[in-house]
Amino acid sequence: MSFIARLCDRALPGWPAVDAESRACALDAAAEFVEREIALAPAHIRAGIRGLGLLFRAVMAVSGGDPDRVAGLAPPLARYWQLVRQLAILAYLDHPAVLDAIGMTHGAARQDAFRAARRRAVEADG
Amino acid sequence: MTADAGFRHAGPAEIDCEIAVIGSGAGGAVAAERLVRAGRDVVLLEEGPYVPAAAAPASITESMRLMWRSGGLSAALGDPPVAFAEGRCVGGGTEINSAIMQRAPEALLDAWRDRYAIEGFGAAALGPFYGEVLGAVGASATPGPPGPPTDRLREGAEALGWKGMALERAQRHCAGTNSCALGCPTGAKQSMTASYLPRALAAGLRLIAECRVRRLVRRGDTVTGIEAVARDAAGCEATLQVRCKAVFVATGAVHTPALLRRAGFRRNVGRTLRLHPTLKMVARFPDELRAHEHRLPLYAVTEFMPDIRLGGSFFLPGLFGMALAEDFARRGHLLPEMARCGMYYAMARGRGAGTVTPLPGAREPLVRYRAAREDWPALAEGAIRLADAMFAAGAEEVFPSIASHPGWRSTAEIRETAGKTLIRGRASLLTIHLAGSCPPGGNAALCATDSFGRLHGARNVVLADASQIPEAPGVNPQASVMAIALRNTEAFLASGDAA
Repeated sequence: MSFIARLCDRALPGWPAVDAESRACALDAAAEFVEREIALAPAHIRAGIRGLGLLFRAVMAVSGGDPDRVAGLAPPLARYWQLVRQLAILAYLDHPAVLDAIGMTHGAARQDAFRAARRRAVEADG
Repeated sequence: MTADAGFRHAGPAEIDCEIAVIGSGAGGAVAAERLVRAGRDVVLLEEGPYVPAAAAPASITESMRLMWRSGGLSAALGDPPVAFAEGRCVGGGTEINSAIMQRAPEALLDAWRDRYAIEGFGAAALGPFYGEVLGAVGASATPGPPGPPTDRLREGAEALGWKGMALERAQRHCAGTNSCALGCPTGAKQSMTASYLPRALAAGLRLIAECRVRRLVRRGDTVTGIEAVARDAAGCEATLQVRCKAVFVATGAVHTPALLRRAGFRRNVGRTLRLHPTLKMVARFPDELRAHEHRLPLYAVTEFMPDIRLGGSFFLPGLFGMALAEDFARRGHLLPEMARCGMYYAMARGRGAGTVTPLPGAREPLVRYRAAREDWPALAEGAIRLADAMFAAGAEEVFPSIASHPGWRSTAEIRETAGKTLIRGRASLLTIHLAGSCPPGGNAALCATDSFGRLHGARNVVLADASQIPEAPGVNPQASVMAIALRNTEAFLASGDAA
């Protein structure tokens, strides 16, 4: 498991409850999303994030592996953990299995339903 | 609007045109449409892909990858930094915004006319241009019930006796997908790909998507062409040279000054970036709002405008979780209560100014924002007012987007603790409204262009985007961008001396 994936694992919330297989799948998606977002960031921001990531990893290695504790040591480390956590939770709560657990209609089926509704509204308006 | 291979370039490595327009958002699309309607030979270059409504992303994470610049992870550095989002696709920011259409306050338009010595500006002069663009995109009240998230904000404002207004949007038969920020899947949102661009294409516009402009080619005070990198239908990149007689630059308040500065145009370019610093707030109510199943709140509190505006935010489970993760230890308990929560914002008309500096070898410029002394007090007041409105609407608990803020549970608690808990350095600020980086006018000390967007020091360059809004307008800027772009284009056509 990559460092980012380990952080994501710590970041993911316990709600909504999903089965282990779905959670693992959502975790993979979250880690991939966090990595991709950092890669897409402007070069100077990306460099800052990656530098902080190295520092965070080093401090975490010597302080027992608790990201919340590492984040409490200095504001830049807190910002890094906040960013990773925000992105991980965003991706987690955007995952189809998690949205199913929330009971939210999503994906292409949802889009098609709205497209049909709009078509009816346009037709009704002549 | 139909597209062969997503409007990617399939032709020769060098092309000629009369006018090249760079950027297909609210400014560039309006300018391009007006130019082709006047019979001009126009090529429109857009860095991002074409994403038709039929292929709109079904998730916010996919949309961020495909349609948002830098995946949505951009920020103006400062104390604190201000995260910002821009579109990077055909249609630009209009594809991922809420399409809220508002005129800038009349008093501001008149004040800018006087301060910057802008000829033919002010509320009366811009009125017809606003009227035309608002009509073209069907700016109107969204059909159907607005939903509980809107109702809460309106109820709170009314209980306190504050003025407010329903927000009109660029839409036709909106079905209420709550997907504005993902790319509208139904085509109801009258973004540029649903309004101006189809008309422009029908009139002969040549649109090239996935074409990143590297630099303006200049000879003295004349831009003779554009060097770009275009992606063909197979995904291969190649250099594209566009020879032209005039250039409209419409890449937004960040990239327009970056492009101009890279070409050596620096006079008052990119030194006055303006924005609306915005503080979000999560509010928990005793009953269910189910904000994720409704439209974003289409109501704004105008009582404190133009300096402070209160409104409601787009709500998806992921975005809600992201807001809680600003301080998950204190706010994580709200996640299972998502159905009872809403997200709102306090937006200040920032008085500070930022800079845009191109970085050697990097695609994205360095953006900095220095807040003015009055910016944070305005935001703090906005947060207090917004919390007041939430409690007046029945909220039980509110959390402004400030890490370590313990939350407020009553109006009395706001007054007791605001001085200690509204800590600027821990605030998560964001904006989607950037402007003012190349102001127009006759005031040589302040302005990058003449009154009608012609760049100082260049014979044939016109600006037509948010960089031309002199300062932060205090309202959603899309209508102002479109009106100013139309005005500058009309002036260009009337001048008859270029191209």
